[in-house]
Amino acid sequence: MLNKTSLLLAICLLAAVSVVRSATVTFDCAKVPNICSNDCYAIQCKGKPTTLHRDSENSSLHRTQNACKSPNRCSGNPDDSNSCDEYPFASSQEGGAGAVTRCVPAHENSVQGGTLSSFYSANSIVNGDAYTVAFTSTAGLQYCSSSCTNTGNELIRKDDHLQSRPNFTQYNRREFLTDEGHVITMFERVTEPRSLDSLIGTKTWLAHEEREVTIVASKD
Amino acid sequence: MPESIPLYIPSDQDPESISESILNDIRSTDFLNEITSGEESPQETGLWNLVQPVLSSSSSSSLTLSQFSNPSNLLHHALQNLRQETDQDGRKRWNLNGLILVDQTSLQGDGSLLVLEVDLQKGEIKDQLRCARRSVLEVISNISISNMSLDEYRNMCGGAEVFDSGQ
Repeated sequence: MLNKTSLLLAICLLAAVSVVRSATVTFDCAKVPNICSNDCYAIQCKGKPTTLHRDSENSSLHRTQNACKSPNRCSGNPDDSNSCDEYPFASSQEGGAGAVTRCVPAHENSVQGGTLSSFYSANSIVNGDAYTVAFTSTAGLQYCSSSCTNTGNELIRKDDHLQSRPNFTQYNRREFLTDEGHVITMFERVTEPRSLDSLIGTKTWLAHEEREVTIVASKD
Repeated sequence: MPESIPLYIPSDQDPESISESILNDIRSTDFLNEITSGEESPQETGLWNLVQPVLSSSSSSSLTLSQFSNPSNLLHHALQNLRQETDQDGRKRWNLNGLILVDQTSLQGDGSLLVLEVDLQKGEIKDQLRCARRSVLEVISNISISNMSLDEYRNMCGGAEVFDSGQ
């Protein structure tokens, strides 16, 4: 009996630890503006999740399931739009069919991939681990403010687009300050007001600087 | 220890000295400075140890340079010997979405390395591309998470035989 109780306790503790391990990664939109636009459009306009779970085992499969297609639909475009970006990321459980895609500059996409890969390694994010996506320097980016008018650059596979509607999640845009003065943009479910306040006092990983800063206050 | 990408070195070519030299070349890339915006030293990035050598002589099967001319040998070896390898915490040690090969051209030609993009579901090579050593980290960090394909890098370099972001 005692063993059963101990086992249950251990399972509960493990579950709690896996929830607590969620990290926040912040992308600098001054460095990757086109990719931020796609991510913001996917979250704010198509209700895609902001908390993702790493899945490198199926990343290749996810990549073939979204509207990027293989060979990628953006090849042959000019340099400012010759690579295909997707959100949720192919390397997450949430990636694959239904991901929102956009043609972006290949170099920008390559840098973004490098920072994401480095984030996984530096923070020991392994398959199944959760992390939350945030942004900085979003000023002037259409889809990171309040507009959801698709200017024609965003694409979801038609069948997946229709299937995803019943699961549409609405978000409110919120801003937080770090101890070094960065303004971090995050998206909070409208059904869970003030839930992101729990991140105050926690650290976020600045993906394009490879270091952590602390979220110290809500800006709103 | 985070997942690493295997760098395959032939067992009959003094693998330990070759691995040190090649890792130095791979890590000399400007890409590390680019992703940190110069805020951290390259050694502090998560990509510094992303590529790790597989000294095939110490694995269950030894692979010589002549066998490296058929990349399928390496994929077979990786799937057989590396796929289930775990670290001391029981986490997967290797990310097999990509493999890097030190082949004849790497040793006696232009020095470039052969990067393989792997379809893990089908257990087959999806694509392959030669990369300059200083460009390997950029390419393999993206292949490992399927953020970009080798085909996109081929397009980036205008279809050149060797992808070299420094050119």
